[in-house]
Amino acid sequence: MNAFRNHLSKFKSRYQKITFFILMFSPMLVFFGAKNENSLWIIIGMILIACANLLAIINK
Amino acid sequence: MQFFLALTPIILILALMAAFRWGASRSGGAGYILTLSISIIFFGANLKLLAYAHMKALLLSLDVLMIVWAAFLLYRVADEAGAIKSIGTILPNLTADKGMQSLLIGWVFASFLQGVGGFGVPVAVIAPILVGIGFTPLLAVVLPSIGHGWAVTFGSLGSSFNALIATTGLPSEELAPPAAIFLGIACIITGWLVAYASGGKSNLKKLFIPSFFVGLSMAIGQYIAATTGLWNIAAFVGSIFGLIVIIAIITIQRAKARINQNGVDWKHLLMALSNYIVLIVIILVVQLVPGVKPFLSQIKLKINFPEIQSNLGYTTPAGAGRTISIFSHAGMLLLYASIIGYLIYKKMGLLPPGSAKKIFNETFNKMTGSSISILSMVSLAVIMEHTGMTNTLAEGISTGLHAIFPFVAPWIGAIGAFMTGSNTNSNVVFSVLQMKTALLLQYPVIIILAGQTAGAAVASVAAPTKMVVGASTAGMSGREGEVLRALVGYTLILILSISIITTIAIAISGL
Repeated sequence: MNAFRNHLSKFKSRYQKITFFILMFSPMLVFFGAKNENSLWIIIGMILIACANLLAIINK
Repeated sequence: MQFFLALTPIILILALMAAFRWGASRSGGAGYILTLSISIIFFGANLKLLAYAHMKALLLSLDVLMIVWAAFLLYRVADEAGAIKSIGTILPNLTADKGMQSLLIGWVFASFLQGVGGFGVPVAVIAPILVGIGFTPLLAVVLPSIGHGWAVTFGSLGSSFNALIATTGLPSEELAPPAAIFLGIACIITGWLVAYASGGKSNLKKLFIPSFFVGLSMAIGQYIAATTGLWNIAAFVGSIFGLIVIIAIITIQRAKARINQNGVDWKHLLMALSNYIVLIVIILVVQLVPGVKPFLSQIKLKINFPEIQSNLGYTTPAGAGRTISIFSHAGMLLLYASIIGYLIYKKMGLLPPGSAKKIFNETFNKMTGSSISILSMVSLAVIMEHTGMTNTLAEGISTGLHAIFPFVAPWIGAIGAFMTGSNTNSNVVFSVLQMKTALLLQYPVIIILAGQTAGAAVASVAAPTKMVVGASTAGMSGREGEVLRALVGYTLILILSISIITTIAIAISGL
């Protein structure tokens, strides 16, 4: 049980770090897209940001 | 219809945090997704607008996160050296009275830190100290949160007041007097609220008179500084007045009670507080010694943004986003204090080998969750601002209730501060709108603007982004909903007080 809890805790911590880094770096991606008038980068960046926020919601 | 749609994200976040007890990062994520959907479907957000809004939000978030991370680092250095534990054993000797401790640390010292520091620093620094001296983590966050609100406008070296001057174009000589009076009255009420929060009605009754005199001294100090051109250090001056008066009151009480004056180990207290003393010295040197700030402010992170227009025609003018002066930023000042504090504690032999790695790892692990919520909520607020959702909210409130506009004006400022977590941002977003509405309705502009900034100041303390900071340093991460529930009543009383003061001031000015 303890091993499972430890595993869950590590997984949650990893989840948080991934969410954090996506939220930190994706705005740069969408900004790069806007500057270069490249909609694809903006769409990819926006999807990443939305996914990161969904991750934040499900990560209790 | 548009008004209620714009209101939905605010209601969702409040409901999730207060009623469902979700943490800030979960609520922020949900609020963000809802805002994004509403802004695209109903407010004409396009890809370009969203892209620039997110980059502006990142700059704003960085501005905040630099302080959050560095404040926690400063705390971790002190904690690792055993300083927080020492303060916890020493401070009760200054006054064993919990009520006086709450006034001294949770109100006056919090206001002092707001005067010299900035966003979130008072709560981030004080919450762990209060936990250390036996306050519950919830109270440890709530007391400094309520305690420093009155000092926000003229605190942080007057950055919020500066925003008011910059956006309205009105001189400080006109804006400062009413703002200082409104916030001075709020200061006295704050003292009573802190007394009540820390020990209920009996505590309030016991501390009513001391709180009044301490509050009055801070209000007078702030007013004198604000109206003599020193508005950038007005809250700092006020809190110094407060510190002098409260220590005098404690000394008199100790003398009356014939308590041994040698009960406080001042040497140990200063050693334990050396981290924070270093911080205060650094901030004062940077802000007040000529030439230091310009020297440190040479390297800036600044991005110029073009004019942005939504599909519905709402336009945000071109301009620079939040400019961050990297080496003079409050977060960097906290970092300098952390490094110097670390070296001092190391020299004293209080830090074991390998402690630097431990401090760094724990700071990173602890702050990730808080950072997520700040990133989500600031993005949400900036999207609302750029799609006109925030404007719709403000216009709906002011035009729909124009007969009682003076009463409502502080609530508009409060909404802006709650959403952005910043008095400065609220002033930037709403000051012109408030000024135009006041002119249209023929109300005195300076009084309405005083209501705007005072309402924003006292409401900013309840903003989720600020709450997260205190909650994380007091070991309450994920329990921000509890903090909000505890804080909301006090904040509403303060905003209501500002509303009543604004209404009375308008009535008097019309006589």
